Amino acid sequence: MTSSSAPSRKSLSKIACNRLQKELAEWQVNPPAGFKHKATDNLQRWVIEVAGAPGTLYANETYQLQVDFPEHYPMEAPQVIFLHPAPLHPHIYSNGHICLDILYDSWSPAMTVSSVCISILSMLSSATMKQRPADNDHYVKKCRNGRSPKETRWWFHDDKV
Amino acid sequence: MSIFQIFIEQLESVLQGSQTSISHEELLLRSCDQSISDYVVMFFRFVTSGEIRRRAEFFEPFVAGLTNTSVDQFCKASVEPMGEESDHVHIIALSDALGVPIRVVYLDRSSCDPSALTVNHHDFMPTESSTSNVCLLPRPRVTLLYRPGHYDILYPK
Repeated sequence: MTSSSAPSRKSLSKIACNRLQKELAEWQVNPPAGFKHKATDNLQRWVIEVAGAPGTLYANETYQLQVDFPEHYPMEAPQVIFLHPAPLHPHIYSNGHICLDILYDSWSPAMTVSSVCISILSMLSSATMKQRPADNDHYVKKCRNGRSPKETRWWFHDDKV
Repeated sequence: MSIFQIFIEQLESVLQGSQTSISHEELLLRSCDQSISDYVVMFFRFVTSGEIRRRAEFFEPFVAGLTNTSVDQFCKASVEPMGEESDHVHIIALSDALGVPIRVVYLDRSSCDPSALTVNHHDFMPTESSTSNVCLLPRPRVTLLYRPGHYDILYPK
């Protein structure tokens, strides 16, 4: 499974730890609709179940997101990928990598796991066709060495889906 | 969890234990810790973004000329994320929002008078509406040295 690519395993800074504990506590009181955090004792890697929104192409399907937090979260973006099998979507590669600007260039420390989840669900929900990105095979081959999507130079060209 | 709350928490952590006050030197020293300064930068990025959005009509033509995107897109992609270049538009908005005049000096040898030993500078004066006391505004209160990708704060000697 290529999607298990581990980001640099530097442990969380104190600030990151505090922030994540708060996010988790807030999540438990008020989780984003359609998402379930799978409880583990690992604060640095969250696995989250996503249910496709009713009335969309992904209704009645569930997927899993893996969120890895860097040492200096939230100054740096988390790494977010879909675990196998990743949903068929024009911006989601078969290795689970997601082409979404807020996960890379447009990340800001004001964002949270919860807001990222909502953006991903909105991206899924607005799809009009279940298909892989045009360059899927080429990209996935390039990532076979376990490269993180955060090392990819993404080009965000489509603001409709 | 609001941005403001996160910022305030970091700010309060500058004072350790039961301290109620520290010297300027100590404050400067602690503020140089990246985990503190990042949050200060983050806070002012959001102040800047808020000001641009608040006066979107005024900033819209500048933003369009710079990036060919909407004000909202510009704030999300070029103001709020860390590490994005702070251009003219950002500084105007920040100076307006804070009511603090800012001088940016440039070492680009573009000084008008080649014989004088001065550096080129540009002053950003907050618009009157954003300050309560205009007569307090005669000269820049903060001087920044522009270096590509970064500004240094210059302190008066």
